[in-house]
Amino acid sequence: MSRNAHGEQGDFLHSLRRERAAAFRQEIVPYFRYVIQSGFGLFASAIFFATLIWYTDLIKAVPDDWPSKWVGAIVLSLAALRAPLRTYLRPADPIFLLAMENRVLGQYIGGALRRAIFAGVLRTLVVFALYAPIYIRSPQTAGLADAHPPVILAALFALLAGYNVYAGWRERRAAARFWRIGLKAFRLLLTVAAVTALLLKSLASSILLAAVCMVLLALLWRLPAQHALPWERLIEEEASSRRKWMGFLSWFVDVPSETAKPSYRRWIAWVGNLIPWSKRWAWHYLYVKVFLRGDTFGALWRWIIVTCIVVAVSGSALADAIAFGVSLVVCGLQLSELKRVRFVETADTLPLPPQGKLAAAASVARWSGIAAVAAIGAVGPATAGLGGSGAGEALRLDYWLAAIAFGLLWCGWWMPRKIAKFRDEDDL
Amino acid sequence: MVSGKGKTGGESALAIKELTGGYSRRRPVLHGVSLTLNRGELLGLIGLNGAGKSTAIKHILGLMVPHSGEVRVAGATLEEDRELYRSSISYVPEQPSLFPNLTVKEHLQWTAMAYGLKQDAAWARADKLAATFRMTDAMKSLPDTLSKGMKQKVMLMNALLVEPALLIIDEPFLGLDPLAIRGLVGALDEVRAQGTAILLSSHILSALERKANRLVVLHKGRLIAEGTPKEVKEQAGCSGAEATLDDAFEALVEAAEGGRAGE
Repeated sequence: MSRNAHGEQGDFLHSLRRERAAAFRQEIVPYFRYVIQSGFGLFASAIFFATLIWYTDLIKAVPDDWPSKWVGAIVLSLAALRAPLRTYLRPADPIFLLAMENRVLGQYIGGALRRAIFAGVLRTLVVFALYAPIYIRSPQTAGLADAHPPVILAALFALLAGYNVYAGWRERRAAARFWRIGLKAFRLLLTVAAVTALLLKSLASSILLAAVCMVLLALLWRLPAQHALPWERLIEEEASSRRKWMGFLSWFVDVPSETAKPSYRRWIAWVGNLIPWSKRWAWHYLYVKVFLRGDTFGALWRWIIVTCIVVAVSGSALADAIAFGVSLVVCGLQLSELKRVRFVETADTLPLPPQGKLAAAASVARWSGIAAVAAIGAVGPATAGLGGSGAGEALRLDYWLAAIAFGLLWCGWWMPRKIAKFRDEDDL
Repeated sequence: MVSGKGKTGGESALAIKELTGGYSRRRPVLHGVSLTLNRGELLGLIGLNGAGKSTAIKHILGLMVPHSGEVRVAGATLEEDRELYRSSISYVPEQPSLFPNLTVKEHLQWTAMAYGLKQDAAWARADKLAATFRMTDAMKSLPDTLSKGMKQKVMLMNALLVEPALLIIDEPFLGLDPLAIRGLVGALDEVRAQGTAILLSSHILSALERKANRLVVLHKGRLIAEGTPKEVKEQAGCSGAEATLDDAFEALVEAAEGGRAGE
């Protein structure tokens, strides 16, 4: 093929990705009007300003027992570890673009990767910029900060973040799932070790450790069998990103539903088998299985785990109760997704009353909400008095009971009621 | 207009009377179609693409409301006894239509629960069907790990699990391997022997010629021929020993087209 034709292909692929990214933005941006109108904007603003006030107070005088070492290691590790890659690839792409796979790698994926690296570096620098004042002023880390110039640390974290995004791409290329999971787990360990060392150990030795970690990862990438371009994985990942956006927006407004790829989740899917074998419970059985293997439950249980960790380590009774309340609001919104479960054509031909669908969806949402309240509610008393430095505040029963009551009302009564009364035949 | 009438006698599993229907009242797809299907019979539904086979099936399933005429399953219309009507039908669509979040075994459990089957009997039947369709090892698999043919087997297993009064199957042989086709034919013979009536829509006319008690031929929403395979061939003027059902079908369509052109 002539150089001219190569150039045309490259331009086409470059503009294709840009057009798709712009089309996605144009698709979702109009929905944000409804998100803001729903009161979420107000809620997010309240959270933002409350956090800003708390942060300003904190950096003015960081308490002696504030766990700045571990907070820094955790938040910077989380910021550096994220390695998403928006490719905007579509299911038909392997058919039409396979013939120019090399060009796709260079012009299309290369462009996406550069943007992802830029975003990862920027994200990590923002997190470091927020953390640096704490690092410098906290009694626990002030001594370390003297030996770690912030500019050098920022550059090192930026490098680490960019490397993580590239490492994420190399993981995706591994053909075997075992290798993908293994490489990811190894990257997680090495990144946490490198971030922790950069913050808490001598700069020279920690730079050496980070370099060794990066070289080690680069060597590991050579071991597994690899795809030049993992089409199916990238298409699946792109669909998942779309689903997450649409899932978020669907909390506030009706959006086109995206079919989620189910997860087997053997560890929890067995719960559906506890439902009595009876025609009366058939819709419940279906909803439980669909829910437990779907995206909604995936987001829900991770959210519950994060909340439990926050409650366990925060060391403040008020912060615990607020985290509990906010978490339950989100849980309730996630559970409201059950009203939009779409059924296959043949479901309408079975001898089951169609009106039983929403009643079953509401029932599943209710019990899931109550389970979420119970799970987070139990963590508070179980971890009271812990806190980051081990000297946390004792549990305030009044706060805690209020949060539980709110959770039961929101997730156990109000949201199921909304689901049961949902009226949009197109969505049933 | 030709009207399909069951000739084997016995209780009618399906009775369609003067059915006119489709998506739009202005342009109906079906025009006054009548037919009956008795228990234990296998009725082959034949027609070109767009002849109205799928629309007819949707009307029988109660997914579309007739413009006029009526559809009775096990003696009742959908309005008269929704529970009896629905629980008397089991359906296998042309395209496998499975819940992505349910395993094969869970699909069978849900179907059994929906039809009110007893647990022990349902599992005994499910195990037998899994063996027939060589799906025993796939019982714990989610649909996205199955091939199209295997998904079709799951649909068939679900439908056959129920042993309904009326089994409707749309293009059952597409995507199936030869052993699965043999297993399906055996399973259909078995449920027929137990009294299930089968409405089978297919373009594989040689299979219908061998297995169907009767055939109905739809063309542009009208029933243009009905009878045993031999009678349909006679109606088409293809009664020679060498004539196949494909020849008869082609002749019937050409005659219908010619007739309409001359109208």
